[in-house]
Amino acid sequence: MMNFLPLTESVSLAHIVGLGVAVFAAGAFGFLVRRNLIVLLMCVELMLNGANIVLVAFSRAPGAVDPQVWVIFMFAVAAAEAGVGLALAVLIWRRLGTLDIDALKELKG
Amino acid sequence: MKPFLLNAAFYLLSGAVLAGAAGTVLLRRPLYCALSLLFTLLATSGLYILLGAELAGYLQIIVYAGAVMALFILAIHMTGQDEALKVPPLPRLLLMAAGAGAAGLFALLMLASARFFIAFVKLAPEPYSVAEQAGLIFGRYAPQFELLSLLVLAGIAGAVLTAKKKL
Repeated sequence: MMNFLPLTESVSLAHIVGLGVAVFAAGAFGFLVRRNLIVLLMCVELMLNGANIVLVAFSRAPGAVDPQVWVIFMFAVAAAEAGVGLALAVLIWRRLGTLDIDALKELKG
Repeated sequence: MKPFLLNAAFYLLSGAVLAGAAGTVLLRRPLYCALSLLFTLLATSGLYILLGAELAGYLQIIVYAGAVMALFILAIHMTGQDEALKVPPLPRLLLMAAGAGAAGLFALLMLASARFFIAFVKLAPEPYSVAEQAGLIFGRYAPQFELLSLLVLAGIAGAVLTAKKKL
């Protein structure tokens, strides 16, 4: 196993956490502005990915292995989420003929 | 490897992750969004390996970039992707409000985690081995691991029952 670290002084925890938070915020922005159901699911994956980057960043703190294990758990959760979400998207497509979330008005009171 | 090269690799991969994220959010065709997300996920796995989380990096390629993205592209092809282009764009005010919300979220999360930055400015010297992580998964986190397998089973059953035409 190659030992790649330390990354020297110029890359600190703040950089990596900042990257993860930026990816999370980009996913949140996409979730607010996009209207295709499948693209919305992709934005959720992007947010999960940002959270994973932050977890890996904090696993570099001395003596913390646990966050890397949580990242591996998050992969399984994300896979289950994508499976069910895409099945729902396919069902909605088959029933309504569209994936535009503005067309989903059946739950409106 | 020289520190300069490591830093260059870190900033290159970070730029790739951000560019892919921007493409996922901004591109119009869902298939292009999916390919952009795939690019992001691959760059992220490179970042994990660079940061010493090797197992997470390789699993990211296999599970995320492999299985989950294949599922996404399959769903896009099953549902026909061109209808997304007919949707009129959102009003500018709404876009600006969403952008301000995302920027606020970024500022809030950075502010909330800022007090940890002083504590661990330097990165830990040793990457953690696969054996250590396996010891944790099958030791301290064994109940959670078993629950997770139940969750995945429920996910499989739910996906099949939801998408099937006739039971």
